[in-house]
Amino acid sequence: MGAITIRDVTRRFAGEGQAVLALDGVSLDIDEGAFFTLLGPSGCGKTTLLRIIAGFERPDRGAVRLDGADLVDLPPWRRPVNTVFQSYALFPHMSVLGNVAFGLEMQGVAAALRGERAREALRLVRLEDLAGRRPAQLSGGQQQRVALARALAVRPKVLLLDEPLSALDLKLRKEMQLELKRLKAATGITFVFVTHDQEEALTMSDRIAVMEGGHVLQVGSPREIYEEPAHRFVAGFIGETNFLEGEVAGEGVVRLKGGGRIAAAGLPASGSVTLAVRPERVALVAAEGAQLRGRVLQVVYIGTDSTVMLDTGTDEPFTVRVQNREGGWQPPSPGSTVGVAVPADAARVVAG
Amino acid sequence: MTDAHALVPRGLGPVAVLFFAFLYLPILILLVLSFNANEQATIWTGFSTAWYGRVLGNGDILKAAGNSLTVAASASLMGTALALLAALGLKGRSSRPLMALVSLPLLVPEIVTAVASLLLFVLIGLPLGLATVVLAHTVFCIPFAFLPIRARLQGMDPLLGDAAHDLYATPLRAFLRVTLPLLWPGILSGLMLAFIISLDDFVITYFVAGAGATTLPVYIFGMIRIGVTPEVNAVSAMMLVVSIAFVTLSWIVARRGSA
Ligand SMILES: Nc1ncnc2c1ncn2[C@@H]1O[C@H](COP(=O)(O)OP(=O)(O)OP(=O)(O)O)[C@@H](O)[C@H]1O
Ligand SMILES: [Mg+2]
Repeated sequence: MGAITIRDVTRRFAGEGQAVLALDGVSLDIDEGAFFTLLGPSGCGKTTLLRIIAGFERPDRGAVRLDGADLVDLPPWRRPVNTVFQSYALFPHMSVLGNVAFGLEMQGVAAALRGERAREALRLVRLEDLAGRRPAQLSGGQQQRVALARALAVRPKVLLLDEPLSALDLKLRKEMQLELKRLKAATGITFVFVTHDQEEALTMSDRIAVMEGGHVLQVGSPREIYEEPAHRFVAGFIGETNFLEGEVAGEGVVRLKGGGRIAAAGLPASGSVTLAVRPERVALVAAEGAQLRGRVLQVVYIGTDSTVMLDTGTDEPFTVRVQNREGGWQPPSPGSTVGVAVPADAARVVAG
Repeated sequence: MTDAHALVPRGLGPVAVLFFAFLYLPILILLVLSFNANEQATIWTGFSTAWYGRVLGNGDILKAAGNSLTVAASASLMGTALALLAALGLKGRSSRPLMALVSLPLLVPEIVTAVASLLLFVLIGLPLGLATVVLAHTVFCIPFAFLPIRARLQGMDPLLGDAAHDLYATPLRAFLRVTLPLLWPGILSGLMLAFIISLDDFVITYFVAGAGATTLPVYIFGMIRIGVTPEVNAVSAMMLVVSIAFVTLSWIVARRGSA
């Protein structure tokens, strides 16, 4: 119950002047009961994909199936899929309880049962005390929870959440993230969650699809997406990454453009490659005999860590992240030359 | 605040007093003289409410008032219904040429509309009477009702419709439960505005009303030809009160809705 299949979905908008290809052949498999996140920059097509699953938008081409049944010709009011809108879209002329009971009323649930189930949904988001208020009398976080309760009350198979937390301040956001995880566990509903916040995606999701320009670039668990980015964009969008360009120079070795040689796994036999290296996976070592050397540009203290920016002879500075442990380490002085140790499994070949 | 003040020459306070006197003096005089005991409308001799009694006892005036209310009620209801349909049908269309097209009849000289309406009725052989007045009034009621409804509709979050559909409401139920209630203040405000405009209309009515279809403004015009009597003052004052009540109500409804 609640497995979604998306096959080759394409959607073009006739914008002013030139057409916009919002989705270009998107295919995804969303498992039943998963917390599935669509992650990508503004304008990459996340909302469009969600609106196609909800039925507000028709794909020009492609198929959308729920538990094997085709959804494309089903209007939104017949789909067992509900949406939490980014702007909440609460009905301003109804009370909180009226909003939450609306879907039940449309489903034809008897009045007595309706009130009970609406209250139950409000209890789930801890808002039962505010049932009589109007949406305008609530804070942003409370409105967000009403929107959640309204969508949960009708017990959908799939819940679509379009950046539901983006309007909240950091503290409330963290609280709501936990709340969403709890609700997910309590209901077993499939969650399709949209965000452009990579940290939120990593902490909340079972699986993440990274999107860019109407394409899905990579789908995987948070660990896979972070540690094994297949695409340069994915590596750059999620977390901090150093990119190193070079030529394959023999078995497992890359000669870097800016000078230096490092070992890397999964290399092609020959040709140019781009390597992605996470700043926290490398270490500063003595310059003598190091694989990679650089001149220190800047050392920035950021609390738990410090980042050391190096000039390694390429356009972009190379960043190394060092943990600030008790007892401390002696930061290198700017202008001095240091070495960088890159473990072979820290340098990943990325496409693009 | 201080900057805005600096943009205006000082010492204009008394001018504002003059401005308001200019606006309201005629009406004030009318109101005062409607309570004049003297037969001669312009010579004050004492306070009396007798003229109001005379008005309410005058069968012709009551009949004209009845006609006015019938016309205003029918024309404003029909005009608002048509305006609502038009606003819904035109939702999402680019608004500038549309607004120009809808507002244009408001700018056409009323006498031209009156002649045109009369011409049309004669041409199609419709006998002049209360029905022709209602038809002609419906036409000019439409833009007055259209504007507030359109404004409401444009200001509505389009996602509310999606949200209703998402929650299993068919298009009809979404309209009845979400769109219509949110549109209601605009509809009511437009209805009341149209009602009062119809109630006050003289020129068009004068042209297209047949015998027996006399409305209050037309009747008052007839009375004046004999001379300004305190009775005329009293009827006018009563119309004034009704108009102000409706305009205020329309304004409150529109404001309440947007809050
Ligand atoms: N109704 C529409 N008409 C024309 N263009 C549209 C429409 N809806 C979306 N687009 C375009 O399609 C592209 C994808 O839009 P979409 O709203 O799906 O992006 P998004 O990933 O949700 O972005 P954001 O993070 O800013 O919400 C954008 O270029 C957008 O301008
Ligand atoms: Mg979006």
